[in-house]
Amino acid sequence: MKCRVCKKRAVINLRAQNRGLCEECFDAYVLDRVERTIKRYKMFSRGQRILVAVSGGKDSLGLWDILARLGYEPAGLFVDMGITRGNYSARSREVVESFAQSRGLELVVESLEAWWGRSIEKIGRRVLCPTCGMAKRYLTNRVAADRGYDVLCTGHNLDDEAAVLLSNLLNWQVGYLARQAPVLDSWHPRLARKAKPLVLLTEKESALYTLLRGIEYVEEPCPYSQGATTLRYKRVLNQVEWRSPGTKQRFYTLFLKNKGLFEGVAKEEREGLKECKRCGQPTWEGLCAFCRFMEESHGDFGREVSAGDQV
Amino acid sequence: MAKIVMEGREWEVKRRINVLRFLEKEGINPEEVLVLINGKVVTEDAVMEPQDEVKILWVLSRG
Repeated sequence: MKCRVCKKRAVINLRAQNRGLCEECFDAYVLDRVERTIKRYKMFSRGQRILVAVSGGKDSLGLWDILARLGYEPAGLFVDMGITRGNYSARSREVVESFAQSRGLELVVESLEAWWGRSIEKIGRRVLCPTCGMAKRYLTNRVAADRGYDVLCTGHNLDDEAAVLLSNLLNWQVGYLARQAPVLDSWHPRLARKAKPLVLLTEKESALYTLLRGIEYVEEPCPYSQGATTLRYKRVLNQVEWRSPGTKQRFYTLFLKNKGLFEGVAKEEREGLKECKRCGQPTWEGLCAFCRFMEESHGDFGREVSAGDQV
Repeated sequence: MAKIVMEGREWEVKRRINVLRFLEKEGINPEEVLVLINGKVVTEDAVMEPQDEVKILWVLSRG
């Protein structure tokens, strides 16, 4: 297959757009696609303080690289969860530090142990993805808001968002549907504005970008990974995508166009926002999910969170 | 004989074969992989020759 633009050998067949692209044209396509996404959803602008949550995986490191190349000044935030199995957190941290150093990018490193007094492995009888996700969301939000960043970016791609959307629809989670968006405004001084600049790039495109840029990343999943449900939805969507190219993007972008359907729920949620009695973070309950879990786990060490909690 | 590897799985293919044909035969969705022939990323219409070294990278993150 030849590149539609310059006729060189293609490295990817963008079936949803019915065109192949060579390495150089694909690189230009990714930069343009992300820049357009940032503008289309009014995520942020040059000169603003941007923090990128980086895990050491392909998407977050790719995003950090793209934003820096586009002329934004993104700092990275790595949260060390203290996963010692397979030396996972230490290896991830090394990869992130080496990336930041090689590109002269500012990196903020925080650890769960410093904030919570214990690593994720010391919290319950076993490490659970919902607890880990909740702690990461809490810390990244808190660091972004406390340090005065204008926006907190994450590397969620189109496959991630389409899979979450499918899951939320299958379970009619209207609260989650009302909140799912490429950009989430801050409704409270302690709630960071959040943006997902890769939402219109497929996971394959994101992986190819990272590979072609020679970015070293952690390939193995977390040793405690329980992401089977999301993975199942991603695979179902990819089966449909293969037969009907463009399905994932239509599914997601048409949902965004119809988000007004959930405005009533979204409004109720915004109006119901309170402050956590312990830490002052915005919450819908008396205590935020993080403080509630901390109180429970301190009081009854070894207790697990409910399996119904969402990552 | 083309040597094809993918996350611990390994195949040896004696004849030249189209990438898409191989993926479909093995039940691998082309949306979920990148294919490298002798270190170069290729599209599904590329052909694997008997002397090629082929690596298939699965791109979906598992959390």
